[in-house]
Amino acid sequence: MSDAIHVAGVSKAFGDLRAVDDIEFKVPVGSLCGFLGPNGAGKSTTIRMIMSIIYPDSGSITVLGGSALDRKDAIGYLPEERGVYRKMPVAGFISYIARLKGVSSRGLASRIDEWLERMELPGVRKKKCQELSKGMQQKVQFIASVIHEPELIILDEPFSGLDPVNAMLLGRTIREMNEAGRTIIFSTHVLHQAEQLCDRVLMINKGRIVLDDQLDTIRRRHDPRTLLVRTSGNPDDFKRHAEAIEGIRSIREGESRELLEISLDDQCDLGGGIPSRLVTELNAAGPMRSIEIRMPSLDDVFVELVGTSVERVEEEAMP
Amino acid sequence: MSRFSNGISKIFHIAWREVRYTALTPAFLLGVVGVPIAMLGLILVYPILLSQEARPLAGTLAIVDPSGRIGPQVVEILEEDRLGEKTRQQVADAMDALPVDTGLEEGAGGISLVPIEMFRTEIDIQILEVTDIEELPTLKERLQAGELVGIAVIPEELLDMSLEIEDLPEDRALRARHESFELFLTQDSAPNQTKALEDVLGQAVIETRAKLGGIDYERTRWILSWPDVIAIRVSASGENPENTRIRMILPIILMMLLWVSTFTSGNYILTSTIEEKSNRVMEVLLSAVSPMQLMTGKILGQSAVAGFMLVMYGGMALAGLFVLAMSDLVSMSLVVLSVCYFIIAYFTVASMMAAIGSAVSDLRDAQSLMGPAVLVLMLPLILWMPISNNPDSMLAISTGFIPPLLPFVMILRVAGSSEALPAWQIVLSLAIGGASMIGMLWICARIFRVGVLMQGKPPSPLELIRWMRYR
Repeated sequence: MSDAIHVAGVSKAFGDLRAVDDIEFKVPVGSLCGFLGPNGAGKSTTIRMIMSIIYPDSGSITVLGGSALDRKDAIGYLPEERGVYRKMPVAGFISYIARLKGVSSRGLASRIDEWLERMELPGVRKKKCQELSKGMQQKVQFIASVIHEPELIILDEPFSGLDPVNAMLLGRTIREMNEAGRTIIFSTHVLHQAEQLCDRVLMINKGRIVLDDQLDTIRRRHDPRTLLVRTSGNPDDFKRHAEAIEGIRSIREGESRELLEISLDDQCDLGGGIPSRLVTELNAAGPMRSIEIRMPSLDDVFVELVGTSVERVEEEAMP
Repeated sequence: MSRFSNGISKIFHIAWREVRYTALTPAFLLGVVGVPIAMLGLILVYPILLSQEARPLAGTLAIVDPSGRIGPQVVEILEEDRLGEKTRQQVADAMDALPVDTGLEEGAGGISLVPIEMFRTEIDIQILEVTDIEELPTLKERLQAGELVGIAVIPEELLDMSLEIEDLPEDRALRARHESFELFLTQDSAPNQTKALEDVLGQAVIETRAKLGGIDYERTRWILSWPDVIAIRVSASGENPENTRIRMILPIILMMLLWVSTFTSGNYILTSTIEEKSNRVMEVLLSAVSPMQLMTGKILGQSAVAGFMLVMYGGMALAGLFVLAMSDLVSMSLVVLSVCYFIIAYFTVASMMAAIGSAVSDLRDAQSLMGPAVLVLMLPLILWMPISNNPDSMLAISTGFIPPLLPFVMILRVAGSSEALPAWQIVLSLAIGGASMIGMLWICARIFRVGVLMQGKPPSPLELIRWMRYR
């Protein structure tokens, strides 16, 4: 079995709204896949169909070689809508979900303690869930979704509502679990979070998959052929001299006056690094403090594919 | 672990959580366990507290009576303790009216729950006889000074036996002199002492009137006393004394036990399902178990809670019957049938509540869907009286086959009927009840699996039907 998830020709409509429209993708075993797209793109609907919580109108979904209904215990799921039993103690809640996921009671208490420590939740074991902050509740729910050490982990917007420190902690934990062999797919509408974590990207917009590939491949394919140069001399002089160099299409100012974004011709290949000829000629154009290849962000890729930014899509979708 | 046993294990965990967070909470234990125990304790302690002798009435009672007859009569009544005897008789009559053996009669078995002392006041008074009404102001001064416990002013007309009833004056003030007397008391006179004086003086007036009229008072009282009726039912199996009151009360006790336990647990299922939806924990649960497993676990868990309540209250009632040596009123067949009808009633009501809880997002929305269901389930309470009065009527027989009324009506009939019900009626009711219970579970499970994932406005009846047909 090489694919943890295989979605083939799946569509789902709610009344007149076509939430998911004939999508097709695979998530290979062992990958850390970001499922990206603006709010309302169809991410949660797809995830719920993968979990067999709702069913597609057409198409088929295979999870871990069968139906998610048959492999519930091998899947860890963190839904978008966060929920805990408010009056249950934290350990009781995690233990209850773990037992439902088929975890034996033997050693469960110590496993819960280890996870509480790992997620930096000391001293909350006996506290009622309602006594915790929202962020803490979210971490408790994350523990409940992975406590049974599942083969496949599906996280729907795991970072939303977390402060940067806890988002970093969660990201680190996700990466560690992936390194330990777990297949992980997580959805987010904040593309740069995925960029930092995942090795594979699925991008969805208006119910359709617009991108499905390894992150490296995407970056290569969507290479904007741009160099970032920080000058230490006069930026205007540098710009005037550099524009005459062969292979340079245009130069524009970056985030600061000294930072210049140099766009290259299509013939110029950056696959093997910056050509030495170009470095030499740029040096001649003026003193440089640094020079690097500007990697395309997923936001850039989204704009290139959809023609507009994620933020703009979300704004347009708002009533 | 096989898939089947894994599924059973998950259902067990859900059921246990329901029990743990419903029945093993301080609020539940206080309400369902604590209150009955407190009530039982109160029943046992109350008579002991009341049996403490009331404040005795001691001192001098002045009787202003121109005829001079009431004073000696009062003394005679007190010496012969005729008032105590009368009180005892009144209490015994009142206790006879209750459907339990209070053990008041001498030599009777059981526990005396109502001691006679709680109804009588010890009287130790001297009588000061006064015939001249002019002395009343002086007597009042002595009353205020605490030298007297009371002053009774007996008008001559009260003992006038020369008048026929139709000759009594029409004028209210004049007529009052033939029918009442004044009793002056101190400010701090206790109510029980006032009652004791009223009783002894009233009794003295009646007995004096009887003497003056040449009437045998004891004989007249016997003539006017209502005879007890000992009803005996005669059947092929022999003669059995009829206890009408028990026949009326036992069925309603059983039906109420059934009603309260099923509805309380049904309500727990409703609220816990709504809570899981509103807390958004439902999706987490459904990632681990199927909607069917979730509903089954919840219903089974709450069945244990309902069973616990039934055992708690039913056990107390049974213990009470044993204490009162009336355990023969509950036969083994009645217990077995009660359990069968409890299962039918519980699973029908519980699945209905689970479906309603799954279809709505908060309790307010549940009210609109609950309305018709509660209306139907209130019918047993409305039908109780006509069915108890005549458990073999056409109304009783026909409603005994109509779900969801069936278990409640049949409990009333089985416990209330003087003769054993025809076997076919019981078998048919159990068959219809069982089939309707399974049908209701199936329908509600179909609604539940769709409803648990729905948010927003509650569904219309048409939508519910559509949910049932979803694949």
